[in-house]
Amino acid sequence: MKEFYRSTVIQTQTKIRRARVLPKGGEIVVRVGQEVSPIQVVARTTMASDFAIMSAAEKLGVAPEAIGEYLRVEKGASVEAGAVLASRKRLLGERQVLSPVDGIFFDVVNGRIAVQPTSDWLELRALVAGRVVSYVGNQGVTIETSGSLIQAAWGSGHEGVGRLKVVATTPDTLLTPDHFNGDVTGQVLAVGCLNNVELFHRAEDLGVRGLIVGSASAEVCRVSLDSPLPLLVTDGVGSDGMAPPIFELLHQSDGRSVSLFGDYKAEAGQRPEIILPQAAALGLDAATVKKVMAPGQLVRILSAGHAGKVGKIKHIYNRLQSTPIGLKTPGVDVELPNGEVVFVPTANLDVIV
Amino acid sequence: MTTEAPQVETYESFLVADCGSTHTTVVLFDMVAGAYRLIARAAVPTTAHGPWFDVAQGVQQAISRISEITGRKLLSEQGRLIRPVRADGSGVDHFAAVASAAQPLDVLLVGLFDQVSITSARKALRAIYHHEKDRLTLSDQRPPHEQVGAVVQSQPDLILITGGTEGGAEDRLLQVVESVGLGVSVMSDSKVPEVIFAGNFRLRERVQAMLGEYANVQMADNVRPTLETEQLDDAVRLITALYEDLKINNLSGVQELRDWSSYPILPTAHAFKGICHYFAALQKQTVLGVDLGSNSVSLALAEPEQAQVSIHSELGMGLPVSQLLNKVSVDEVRQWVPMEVSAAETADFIFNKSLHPFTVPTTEKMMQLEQAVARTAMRCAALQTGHELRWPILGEQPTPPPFGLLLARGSTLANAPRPGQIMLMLLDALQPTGIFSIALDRYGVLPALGALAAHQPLAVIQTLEAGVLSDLGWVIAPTGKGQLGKKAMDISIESERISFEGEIEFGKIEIFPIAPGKSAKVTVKPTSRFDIGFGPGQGKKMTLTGGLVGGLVIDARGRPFTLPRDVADRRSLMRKWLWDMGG
Repeated sequence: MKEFYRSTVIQTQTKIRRARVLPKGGEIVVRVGQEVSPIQVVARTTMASDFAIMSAAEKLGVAPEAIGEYLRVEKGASVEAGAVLASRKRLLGERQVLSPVDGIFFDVVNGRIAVQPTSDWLELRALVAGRVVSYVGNQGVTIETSGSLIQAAWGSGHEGVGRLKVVATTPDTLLTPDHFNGDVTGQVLAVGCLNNVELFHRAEDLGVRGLIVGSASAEVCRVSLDSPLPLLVTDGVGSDGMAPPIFELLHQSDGRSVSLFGDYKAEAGQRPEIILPQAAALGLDAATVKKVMAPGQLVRILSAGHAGKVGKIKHIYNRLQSTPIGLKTPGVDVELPNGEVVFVPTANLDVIV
Repeated sequence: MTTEAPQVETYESFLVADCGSTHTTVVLFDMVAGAYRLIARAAVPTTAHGPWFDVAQGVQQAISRISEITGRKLLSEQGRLIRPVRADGSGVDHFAAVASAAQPLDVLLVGLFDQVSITSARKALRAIYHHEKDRLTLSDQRPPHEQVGAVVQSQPDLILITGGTEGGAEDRLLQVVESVGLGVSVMSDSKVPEVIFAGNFRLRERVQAMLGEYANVQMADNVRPTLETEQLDDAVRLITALYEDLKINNLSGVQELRDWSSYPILPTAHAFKGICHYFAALQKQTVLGVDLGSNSVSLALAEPEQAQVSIHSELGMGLPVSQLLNKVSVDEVRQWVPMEVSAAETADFIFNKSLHPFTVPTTEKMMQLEQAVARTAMRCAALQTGHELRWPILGEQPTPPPFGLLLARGSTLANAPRPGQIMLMLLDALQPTGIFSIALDRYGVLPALGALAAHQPLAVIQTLEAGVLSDLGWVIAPTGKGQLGKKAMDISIESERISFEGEIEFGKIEIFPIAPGKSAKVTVKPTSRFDIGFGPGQGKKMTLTGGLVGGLVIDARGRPFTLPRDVADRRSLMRKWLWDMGG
């Protein structure tokens, strides 16, 4: 029987397929098989929220249900700013409803006319270099690429792409003003910890394209929600830094193009992702989620005291174990790289894939 | 439990799965020595979402664990449930499931006034797991195009439209519905939302005409037919059916569970409400249930004749906990921590808990932080429910109406190392009054029993008789205000172990030893300023049994009680309470 444990994918080289989808139906502007760059637009649609709405029935002095006979354009027609949408002849001239914008005559609801401006396009970019392998209805495409894949713990909800610049020397390096020396504009910076809101804003001001941190304070995370600068936290909230395997992988990838998939649905079990595309040999398999917990398995510890540390399972207990606070829980002994062996409740482990 | 359970000649076995948002628990009930018993229980991570996307896989894993524990083969080689029981003893007769693993229903609320129709709509929505994504009312200051945008942005599963008394004004509500109409027409490219109209009856046809082209519109009785009256039943029925249809039935992998199941798959909170109602009817008393879940907090209030549940999907110990600090200040959380902890440390802990909801505390500080968060989440749910259901007001805060039994569940409660900690969390958070006992669902089986209660009452009675709940003990919590340190009541206790007569001072919480399972005669006589549920100054003689906390708890801290402002005094008092309660 399969066993299921929580896991985190940290893969140096794997095949990756990701769907890029608009919030509503639109127009796909790439073809299947086409190679795309991260900033290339793959699909677009009109913005949903910027309608021009006019109280046509009221202006013409007719009942809402009677407006149909006064319309001068059909639903779905393109209209220019100033175009007559509806009109009614009166004894002393004509009353008119004009379109305030270039757009599409979208709909009439209860005597009100809605025009959707055509100037406001919502464009969806590829975000990652790769090849379009399929369409997702009229809402988007699936892109296939190969390269490194890291599942993060938290993302601010924003996406980004840029050149990776690892400014830390160790997994627990704290971001300081000195790390902004040199050219950081357009780069995605990676560092162990970030707990200073001012530095986050400094990164915004300097045109940094994204931040990858091992850990960040809750305050920084909250502030980042309102910023377009993507923040991806790989390990957790606090000051425990970055898990060494993630830090090493980023370090090896310094200077490569990195894509930050920070727009995700946590309630659906999705995680933010860091993708570093790199050409690969044919026949590479997609990352699979390992489903066993066995001695020798690499695991990350999630609980306080050893949070963020990575080690190998040394022993799995068959019976519940008592912790110093009196909790009885299933758990394992984990051997850390320095040889120390610590007991960790199974609930506080993350299997590294 | 004192009801004598009848013997049965023929019997059937039951396997029940509770698919929670982080854990899936499966329980096997079968006959042992002439009575139903909980035979085995297994809990594993829920596999409804990524990376597994198949809720049935977790259930199969838990069933396999039960097979390992019992030696009874329950799954075929292909992983299918063997049903009914075979001649060789393998398999099980019935399977049932409850689920809270599905995502909440995203709801857009539409109405006239926050204090009238929107309030009633929110009460109706408490019957299901939901998120209120946005609301449109007459007081909405956004221009029409932004309101349309709000409809589209919220991408609702359900648009619940209320407003207008029967025969009342019509135009104003229709103005708001216009924006909804434009919004759903835009959305129809990607999603066709469900609309329930529960407003002014006379507007039904016009609402249908305005929205019917782009949405599935259903009509419910007006939730507010007059300003003074409220009727939620019809709206609740439709909303619940929608949740089950859109969310539970679309849970990936649920079809396999439905194929196995002898009964409909219930929302967990409804099954929990069911078992609370069952207890209320059985014991002819009021029962309060609290379920501190990972993705929701549910409160059930059951009388022998009726029960209702209030689900708070915006609260919980998992993903929603990151939103807790939008409701309360960080100081309101850390006030419950009896040791030094900074605001930043508290905020970091809360955020981290939302990322790793399944983790268990390993240090004293982490445990106290987790229990502080639990208190805050339950308190928020209780206050919100109290306001919505118009619970009695004490000191300007709603207080649960008097009840005889508190049923509590949730892994934070069940994992607390000492019973005193559990009881103190519940008393601090809910601040209940009167005379009541507290039972903890330590094994996480109450929803499973709730799912069976309507179909197999005998199995439920006998399983409960066998003691699957942990009786924490009895509590007497008077209402009233006095001076700190002055007498609040006289008490005398006579048992095998103790004979005690004395006074209880206002502001204190004290525990008087009664051995678990042993009974003691207790006489309580409050002073004229205090009331234990029989009127100010009215006393009571009773026989109470001891629970796991080791005695009778007198909580004379007042309702609502306030914590000292001085940090050192507060921590000292919290430590004393914990110490007194054996926590």
